Amino acid sequence: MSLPQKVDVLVIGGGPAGSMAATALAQKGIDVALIDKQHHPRETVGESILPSAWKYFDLLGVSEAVAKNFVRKAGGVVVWGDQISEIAFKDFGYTRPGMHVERDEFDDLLLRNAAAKGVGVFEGYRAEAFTPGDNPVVTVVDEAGQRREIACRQFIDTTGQAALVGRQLGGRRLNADFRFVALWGYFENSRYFSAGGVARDFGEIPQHPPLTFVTRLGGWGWSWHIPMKKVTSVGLVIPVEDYKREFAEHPSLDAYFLSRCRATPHLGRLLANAHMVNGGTRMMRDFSYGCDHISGPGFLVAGDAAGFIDPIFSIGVVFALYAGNLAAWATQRILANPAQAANTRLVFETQLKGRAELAYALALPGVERDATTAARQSFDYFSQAEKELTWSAASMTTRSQNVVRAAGGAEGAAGIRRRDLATLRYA
Amino acid sequence: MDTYETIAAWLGHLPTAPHSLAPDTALIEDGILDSIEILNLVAFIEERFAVVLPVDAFIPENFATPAAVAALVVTLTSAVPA
Ligand SMILES: Cc1cc2nc3c(=O)[nH]c(=O)nc-3n(C[C@H](O)[C@H](O)[C@H](O)COP(=O)(O)OP(=O)(O)OC[C@H]3O[C@@H](n4cnc5c(N)ncnc54)[C@H](O)[C@@H]3O)c2cc1C
Repeated sequence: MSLPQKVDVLVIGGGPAGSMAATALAQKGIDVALIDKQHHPRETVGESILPSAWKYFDLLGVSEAVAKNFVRKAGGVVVWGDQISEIAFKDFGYTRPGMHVERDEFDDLLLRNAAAKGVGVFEGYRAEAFTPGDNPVVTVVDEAGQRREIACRQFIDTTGQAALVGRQLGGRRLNADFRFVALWGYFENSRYFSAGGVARDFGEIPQHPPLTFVTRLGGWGWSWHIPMKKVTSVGLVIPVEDYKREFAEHPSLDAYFLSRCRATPHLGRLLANAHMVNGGTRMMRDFSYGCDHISGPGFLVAGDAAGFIDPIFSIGVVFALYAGNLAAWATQRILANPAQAANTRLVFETQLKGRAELAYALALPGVERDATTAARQSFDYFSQAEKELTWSAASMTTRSQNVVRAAGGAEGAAGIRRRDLATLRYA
Repeated sequence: MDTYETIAAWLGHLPTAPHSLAPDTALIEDGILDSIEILNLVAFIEERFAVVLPVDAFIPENFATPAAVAALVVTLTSAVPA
């Protein structure tokens, strides 16, 4: 199959947002092609997935494959200053777990599923530019450097942090409230925490599901520890200023990353017999931003391409799936009723921006700012279980007041289901 | 079928729906209508009642209960075109 010159919908980028959007459209019988500049499986960060993802997995028809291929997590354990606390998804009525996934494999699974459901998938094609309008045109470059044009009726930008639309039209703004650097790497043979804050050997994962483990670093920095099938993803999210000062004292990024990990209480202990594999330390900065243009004549923008706030609540993938599905719905509504395209784009924008503003209001570190009306409405689309999970998770990193503001002042103390632990237990 | 019954019948087919759906069943709070199903519901309403939801109709209050959804539809179908 070769890249078409003409297609009803072109989806650009094959991460979770793109696969979700393209598959949902194909399932409705719409002619859709997806291009990605890379070949999957390809590496990307973001391995901890919340249980609210299952409804999207069900819709895509991948729930069985996801359950079979990845590690289930029972909840999370957080050390924030003197406070050690644990939450378990089942306490909120969730019947299915969260997941820890190798993103190369996970994204590949979603993309192969898209192809199986009728999406034309083309890897090794990079979108370079686009002309918006009633019949938008996207310029695509193949790996030999050859350019060609694809005409479509609508396209969806799901290019992740590359943000095709945001960069071409401008208005991609870095978020001054989240000036962090993320450093991460992959470890073999790390120990991990299971229910009750009990440290276990890596090999015990099948019998004792892991918790995602988070510790505070300094004021608002933090670390993640995500055990997967073969390796454990460990990351540090550090204020830019601290990073600059501390890194200068080390000979290399690996040396800095490893010494910072090993010096962190509990994290260092879990890593005592572990070693870093898969090519050393990864780094990312300026990952927090928003875009002024998330829709326009002939296009919608979804997933990280529309903006990304902060990884503290592990909502990236779920948000990308939500946005991908919303974009599919809006695209279908535009194709079916072009006269109402402007109304549909406005609906898409308000819903997506509300979610983004909510994510921002919840994650804000140590800043008191009222949640916007749109953020509050987005919170009210949550079920009681989802609200209580959000509240409880936020309380573990002293962000409960953020949720109070998102809930329009309502105190949710009754819904906070968190177990405080006196200590973490090492055998 | 009147508007309410049409809406209730659609909601009743959701896998998350309880055995008996009352006009004041908490659809969002109880997790019966999630972010996916709300969009499906809007698509159904627009096709079945030949209306287009304006942007300000997309608020959680309008989907909170079967009665609220039916009231929204009644408002839209009885609106006089400008
Ligand atoms: C430090 C950090 C930690 C995180 N941790 C978590 C976590 O634990 N849990 C979680 O849920 N989320 C996490 N996230 C967020 C998560 O990584 C993202 O939200 C998610 O991957 C977004 O998916 P997406 O589909 O929008 O984009 P991506 O997954 O980035 O996919 C974009 C795709 O577009 C392709 N592409 C780019 N440009 C072009 C182009 N011009 N033409 C064609 N193709 C193109 C790329 O090759 C890529 O495959 C984290 C983020 C950061 C920064």
